[in-house]
This record gives sequence, C-alpha cells and structure tokens, in this order.
Amino acid sequence: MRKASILAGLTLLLAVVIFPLYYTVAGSLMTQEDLTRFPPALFPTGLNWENFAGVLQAVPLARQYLNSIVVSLCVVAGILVTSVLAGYAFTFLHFPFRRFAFGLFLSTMMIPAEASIIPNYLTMADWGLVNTFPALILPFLASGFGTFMMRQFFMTFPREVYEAAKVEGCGHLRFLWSILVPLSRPALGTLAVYSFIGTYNHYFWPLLVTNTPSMQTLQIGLAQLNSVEERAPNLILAGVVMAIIPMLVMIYAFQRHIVRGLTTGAVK
Amino acid sequence: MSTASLPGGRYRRKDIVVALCFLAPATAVFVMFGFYPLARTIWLSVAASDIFGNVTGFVGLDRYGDFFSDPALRRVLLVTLAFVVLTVLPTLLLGLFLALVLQARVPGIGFFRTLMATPFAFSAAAAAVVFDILYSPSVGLFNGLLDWAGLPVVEWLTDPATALPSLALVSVWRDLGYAMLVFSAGLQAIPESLFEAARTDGAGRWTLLWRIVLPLLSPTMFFLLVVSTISSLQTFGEINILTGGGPDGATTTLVYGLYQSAFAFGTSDYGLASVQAVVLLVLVMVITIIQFRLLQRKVFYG
Amino acid sequence: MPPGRILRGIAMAVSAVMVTSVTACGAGGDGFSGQTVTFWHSMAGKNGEAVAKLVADFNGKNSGKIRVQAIYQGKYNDALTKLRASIQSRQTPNLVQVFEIGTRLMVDTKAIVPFADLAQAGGFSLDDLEPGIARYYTMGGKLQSLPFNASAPLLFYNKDAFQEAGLDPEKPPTTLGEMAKAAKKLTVKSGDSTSRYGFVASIDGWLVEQLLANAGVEYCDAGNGRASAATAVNWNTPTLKGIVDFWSTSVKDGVALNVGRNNTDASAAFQAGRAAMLPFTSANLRDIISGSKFEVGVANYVRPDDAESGKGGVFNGGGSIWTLAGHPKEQQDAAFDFLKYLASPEAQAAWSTSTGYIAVNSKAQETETFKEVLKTYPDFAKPAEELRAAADVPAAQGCLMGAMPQARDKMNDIVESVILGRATPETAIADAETAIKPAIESYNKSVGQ
Repeated sequence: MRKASILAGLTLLLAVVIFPLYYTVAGSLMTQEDLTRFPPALFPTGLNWENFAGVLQAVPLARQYLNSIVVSLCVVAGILVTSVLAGYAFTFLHFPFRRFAFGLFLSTMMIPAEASIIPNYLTMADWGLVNTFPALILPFLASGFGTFMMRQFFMTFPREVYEAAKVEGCGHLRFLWSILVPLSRPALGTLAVYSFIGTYNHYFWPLLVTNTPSMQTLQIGLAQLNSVEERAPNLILAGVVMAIIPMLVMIYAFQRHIVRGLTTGAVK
Repeated sequence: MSTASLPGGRYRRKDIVVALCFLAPATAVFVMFGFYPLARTIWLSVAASDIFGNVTGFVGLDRYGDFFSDPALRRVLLVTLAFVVLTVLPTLLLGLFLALVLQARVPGIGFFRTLMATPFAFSAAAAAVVFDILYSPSVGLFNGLLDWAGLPVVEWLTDPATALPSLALVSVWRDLGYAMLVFSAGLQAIPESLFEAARTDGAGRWTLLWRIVLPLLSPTMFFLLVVSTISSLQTFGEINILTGGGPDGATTTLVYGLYQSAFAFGTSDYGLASVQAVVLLVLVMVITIIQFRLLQRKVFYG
Repeated sequence: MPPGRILRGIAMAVSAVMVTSVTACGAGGDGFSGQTVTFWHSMAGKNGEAVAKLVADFNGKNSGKIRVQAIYQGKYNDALTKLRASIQSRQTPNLVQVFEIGTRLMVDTKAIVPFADLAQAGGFSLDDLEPGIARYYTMGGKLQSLPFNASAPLLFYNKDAFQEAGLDPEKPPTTLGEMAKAAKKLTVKSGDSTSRYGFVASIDGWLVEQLLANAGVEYCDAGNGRASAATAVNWNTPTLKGIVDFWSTSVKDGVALNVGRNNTDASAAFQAGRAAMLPFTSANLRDIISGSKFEVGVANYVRPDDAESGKGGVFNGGGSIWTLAGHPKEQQDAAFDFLKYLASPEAQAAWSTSTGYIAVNSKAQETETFKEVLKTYPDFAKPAEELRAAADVPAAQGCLMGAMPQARDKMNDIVESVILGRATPETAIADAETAIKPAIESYNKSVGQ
C-alpha cells in the first residue's frame, strides 16, 4: 500500500518533470493547425512524420548535426591530449615555477568565456577565420578543468611504477602512452563525455563566428529554425527531437561518466 | 633554454625540456584565447571608441563610472543577480527534493531516476525553443491550459515582472536533472551504517535528514551552489532566443548586455561591452576564490 | 600494452567524421566556375519561401554563370547585429536586406555602394521605381539601395466577428476612436476568461511611427531628418500621448490582447480568432488571408483622432537591399544582375502577390500575374493605393536618423511600460526621450556631424 502510494507520487512527479519532453515529441507529430489554434492540442491528431522532412527543407539540420559532432569531437580530442600532457608534466616532472604554472592553469577556470568573447571574435576576424571550423574549435582545445582532473587522477598512481619504468629506460612519451593512458581510461572517458556535452551545447560563440547555415552548429540551427518557421511550431519541435536524440542516447549510455564528471571536486 | 640559472641544479635538464614540450600546447591555447583577450577586454574598457568600434582614445574609468552611475545601465546588475537567485535556489532545492524522493526503496526506482534526468539532454537552445512555443501569448499551451481551467492567462515573457522568472524556469527545468544526479551521488556516498546507528538511537526521519544527511551533503551542496551560480551568470542562449533582453530590459543580464552593447542596432560600443565583461569576470573570480578558500577549510570533507 | 580504447575510438570517430565532412564540403565545389553572390535577408516563413523561389528562378536563368546564395540571418535587428560583426571581420555578404530605418546608418558605415551609381554604370533606368518608395531611400540626391520589400500598414479585421457583433463589415474603423468603440463591441468575455478580444497588436514602434505619420506629426527634428541629420526626437506631443493612452486603455479594459513585441504572435492570435482586429503590416497579407478560417477584411490604416484627414499619410515599411563594397568587380556585377532581376516587373509581381508587399516597380501591376491574382484577391491593390494617397509633407515620409533602430526600440519601451501600468504616458515619453538622447549624440559625433 505504502509502496503503491510512493509509486503514484513518483509517477506524478515524473509526469510534471518530463512534460516538456512529452510535448516536444507529441508536437513534432502534430499538424500546424493543432498547434496554432487556441487552446492548442495536447495530443497529436495523427502521426505527421512529414514534419521531419519539412524541417530538413527549412534548415540543413543534417549538415549542422555533422558540424556539431565534428566540432565536439575535435575539441574532445584536443582537450584529452592537452590535458593528459599538462597533467603529466604537473605530476611527474620537476621543473621551476611548477606551482606557479599550475596556478596559472587553474586560473583559466575563473575566466568566463563571455568576458573575452569580443576580443576573441576580433582575433578570428583578423585571422580571416570567421565562419570556419578552426574558429569553432581552436579556443576550446585546452581546459584548466581537464588538466586539474588528469593531475588529480595521475596523483593516485603509484610512484614506484613510474620509477621502475624510468629505471628500465622507458621514455616519458612511451610511459605515458603505453602505461598511464590505458590505466586512466575511466578519467579519460569522464573528461571526454563532459567536454563533448559542453561543446555540443555551445551557443554564444558559434552564434558570433558562423554566418552560413552550412557552417552553423545544431544549436544555432535550432534558433534559426525557431525564427524562420515561427508560424509552424510542429516543424520546430521536430527539429528539437532530432537535436536531442544524441544527447538522450549519451545520458542513458554514459550516465555513470556524466555523474562522475559533474561531481569531480564535490564528492571524492 | 639554459638550465644554468636554475637553483642548485635540482632540476634535470631533460625533465624541463619535456615539461616545456608537454605544457606548450595548452599554454598556447590559454595565452591566445584566455589571457591575451582578457587583457584586450580590460584595455577596451578604458578606451573610447566611435559607434563603429574604432578606438579613438583613452578615457580611464569613465565608462565604469557611466555603468555604475546610470540607473538604466546599473539595472543590468540587478537583473543578473535576480536571475542567479531565481535559478540557483529552485534548482538546488528541487534537485535535493528529487534526489531524496528517489532514494525510496521501491521497484523501478532506477528507471525513475534515469527518466527524471532527461531534461539534461536539452541544450539551452533546444529548451528555449520548446518553451518559446509553450509560452506563446497567442496560442501557447500554458495559457491554453490556464484558460481551460478558467484561470486568467499569464504574460509569461511579455511582462517585465514575469519575464525573468519565466526565463529562470527554463534554466531550472534544464538543470534539475543534473542537480538531482549530483545529489543522488552524494547521498549514495553516505555510509549505510550511519543511518542504522542513528535509527537504533531512535532518530526519526526528520532528525536523520537534519542531523546526518544535510551536514554530510554540505560539500555537494556547496559545489552545486558554486557551479550553478557561475553557469547562471553565463546564461545567454535562453535570453537570446526567448526575450532578446526584453521586455523593457527586464531580462538583460551582464552577458546579454555586453552582447547588445557590442553589436546590437548595427552599432558597436566595445567600451561599455567590455566594462560589463570585466564586471562579469570579477564576479566569477570572487565566487571561485570563495570556493577555494572554503574548500581549504573543508566545508565537510569525507 | 594496448592504448586506451576510448582514445582510439575517439580518434577513429574524428577521422571518419573529418573525411565525411570534407566530402560534404567537396559537394559545394562541384566545379562551378561562375560568380557566387551571397545575399543576407530577413524574410521568414512564407515570405522566406517566396525569396527562395525568386532566387531559384534567377539561378536557373543564369545557370553556370551566377549562383545567388540566399541566407536567412534572423529578423531585421538580428541581421543588423550580424552585419555589424561581419563588417568588423571584413567578411561581408555581397547583398544585404536592411529594414527601412537602417537607411542612414547603412550610408554612414561607408561600407556600401549607392544603388544609383551601380544603376548608372549598368545602364539601368530608375524611372520605373515607385517614386514615393524610392524617395525614402534617397539621400544626397542619390538612390542608396534597391527598395525590395515595401509594405504599408493596414487594419485587418474579422468580417464574421463584425457581423456577429452587429457591426457593418464593410465599414471598418478609420480612427483610433472608432477602433476603440468597435473593439468594445467585438470583445466576448465569460467570467475571467476572454474568448475574443477586440484587437491585438504587437508592441512595435513601427505601428506608432505610422500613426504619427498618418497624423502629419514629424517624428524627429530637421524636417524629419530629411533637411539635415536629426538631433532629437519629437515625441512630446499630444498625438503620441493620445496613441499610447488609447493602446494602454484598451489593454487595461480587456478589449485588446497584449502579445509583447513579437509580430507573429499578434497575427497568430488574429488568425486563431482570439482577436477581431489586427493593425499590421501588409507584408503577410497573403498568409493572413489564406491562413484564416474566417473572411478577412483589409482596410486602410487608422489615424489618431486629433488628425485631420489628408494632412499626413503612411509611408513604406519593410526594407531595401544594399550592395556592400570591397568585393571583386565581377562579383559585384553579378550581384547587380540579381538586383536588376529583383526589380523587374515580373519578379516584383510574383513577389508582391505571394506576400503582400507593394511592387516597387510600377509596371508590375500591368503583368498578367498581378492582374490574375487581383481578380481573386482585390485587396492586393490596397497597400500601394494607400501609400500613394499620402500627403507630400516630410511628416508622411518617415524620419531618417542614424539612431532610428534604437529609437524604435525606445518607442517599444514607451508603449510597453504604459500598457503594463509601470508608467504614465507622460513619464514614459520623457524617460524615453532622455534615454535616446545619448544614442543620437554619440551617433552624430561618430559620423562627424
């Protein structure tokens, strides 16, 4: 009895929380008429799959999908490489001003990207990179958080293994690549998932540095779709459904990684 | 690089060279897209420029004076702070509530937890676009439901008094799943033995919550507070899509204000834009430094 | 030891995606050796489709030689923001559509080539352009841009609702006072909820600008910015107070629906039958008539009550297309070919009849396309007639001012704050005049005036 009432309560709560998700999916199957009368429909009157074709006609979502994925994957790859290298240097190597340099790296976490967005735009403009992949990717190739995270992880690594490898004449790169990286898979996976989601959701920067639908990312494409098809909410919602599918897959598949990434620094 | 100047030769030359090589890629990115633009922002904030963005001279702190003395400009600060409060508090409270509820020992609880986290799949743009449709003053579902229930309709985004809360609702909805996941992780880290010990001492449910759960969750809570505050300060997409800073400036936050100053109406005021950027920077820095300080004192570190 | 699976997976995925994206890029370079012309516009929905049709038609006719790439850059203000940033990066489009109030700003950026110069070099006669509209875009004796989408303000009304309310569907209101009376009769309430409002209007400074022009009241000084650069707005007038008062009272009394600043929300409310009248641009005439389930009446725009008929008149809204400087000559020529096409009677007839914009080429009305549509929809002749009937005074030509986009925004603030009961018309107008002053001053200073 008690369990049943808890379940009922949870179901109700869930219904409220995921209602916008329901309406997105339902609306993506409705007709324009369903959504532009007052009050609008709650349930689709039929299954209008052609909405999805309609979206692709209004904005090149497929291409923008690809752009978002290319940009996100490049950024992930960049962050993994730069963070692993820097984290390694800060953990295993002795060099002057190490603490200071590490502090400087960490301080980048305090700089909100928006505070330097105008000069960054001007830089891209000077370099003639506006509306190109490099403009979307370059500024994000390193991460203070990523460096911090890799260093934290490397610190838990038994020092003796490092010393033993050194004695056997194993070079830094080889040690890094064949011993450290394979053992750091959980941390790398978490950092990868975390950076991917962050980059995939970028909005302000891509809005500034892209001019053509074929260079725009999915997020900008959605905003444009919302503006250009204002009178056809069914199309807009179909676009949203397409945009969130990869994220839904990711959060179901990598929930553990996501939680770990989100809580690094909170619950150790 | 020579190692001769290094103290006492404690460093191995090879280590230094390798460290330099390993740090070079990240450093290049940080310098080019972090530190240099920051310096340029600060320079632009003390420079005069014409409406086309050309620097015409040095004005010192004049633009800061403009920003803090003109009530219309200063309002941006109030809006920003109000937005932070309106997003962060509900996100934390509701996230904690959901996480606690989802601790219930009933079949299928994992299923509920996973589904509750789905709003997290929405980007700012996706969530904004969906709520734009729900909020529509002419044919939106929210007003449709209110009307159907015989209640007066709400001017969600068209009244300065409700626009900011409506905007905050989108952020809260989107961040809720994330807060819930983080709180759940925190809750699961609390050893079961503590509860059992407390229960055998005859502690009730509320006592458990106040005496054990909340204190042990304090680092999680603090972490979420900082992270959500910073991300709330940086909100842009929702504002850009839903209100464009209006109505009547009611949703123009620092980030949106700097964007508008920089490019809106076909004119550029990089000076004013940069002042707002610097203010944003200072806010984020202060919050981060407080975080570091408190973490050093260990709020409650398990 | 084998390298990390995740890393390898990512590396493989990146390279796979890179390859596909390079191929996707390659699809653009299909050996096309002609001129590519980029054209930024702000036409959404059905009007955007009409632009796409014109572009496709032109590209078809010039296949292999010219390819126009039309890109929607958001609404007028968003596109202007985008343009500002693109001028900074020297990556401007060849052509850009800008709303009417951006005219002086565009000239002052010095980033454009006047259309009159292009026309002279290209042997294109400007005589066929609708004179009233061309005059709006003329500065320093030169036509600066090609008027492309010229609209007139109209009053749309629901004839079925008029009948129901006992109003004569053939006698729509002509003044704000008449509109208020009709709105009261048209409103249907049951308890707290209103099933039909008298009228709906989006908060759009343009509607106010047109009311003032219709009343013969100048919007800014210096002969409405025509004699020299305007230095101040002229808002502290009984006419503007009357307009704001009418609007806010209607909302307060529950006879008008406030939908905020978004135009589409207003037309959507009208089309869904939630409001019986709609002061709106002619730009969506076609869409509104064909998308409504009731009989739509189309009337001339209303005028303030203190205005004498014939003293003022409405002027063109919408926008024009600007040619940006700094592109190769061949590209600019190709862009000009496209402009010539857009200005042709056939293109204008197709454009006008699929949207509701006024054909800027006066010969368009003689085309078969136009005549054919006029038979089924006689209302398509109204916007042009209304515009031609305007008195020949600066007040009825609209204010030409660099800070006009900001001024329109401030006008929105006035209307909004009074509607929402946060200010009286007097204080709202005074506040807005104070707020717009520095924008006008810094603008004039920047352009050396």
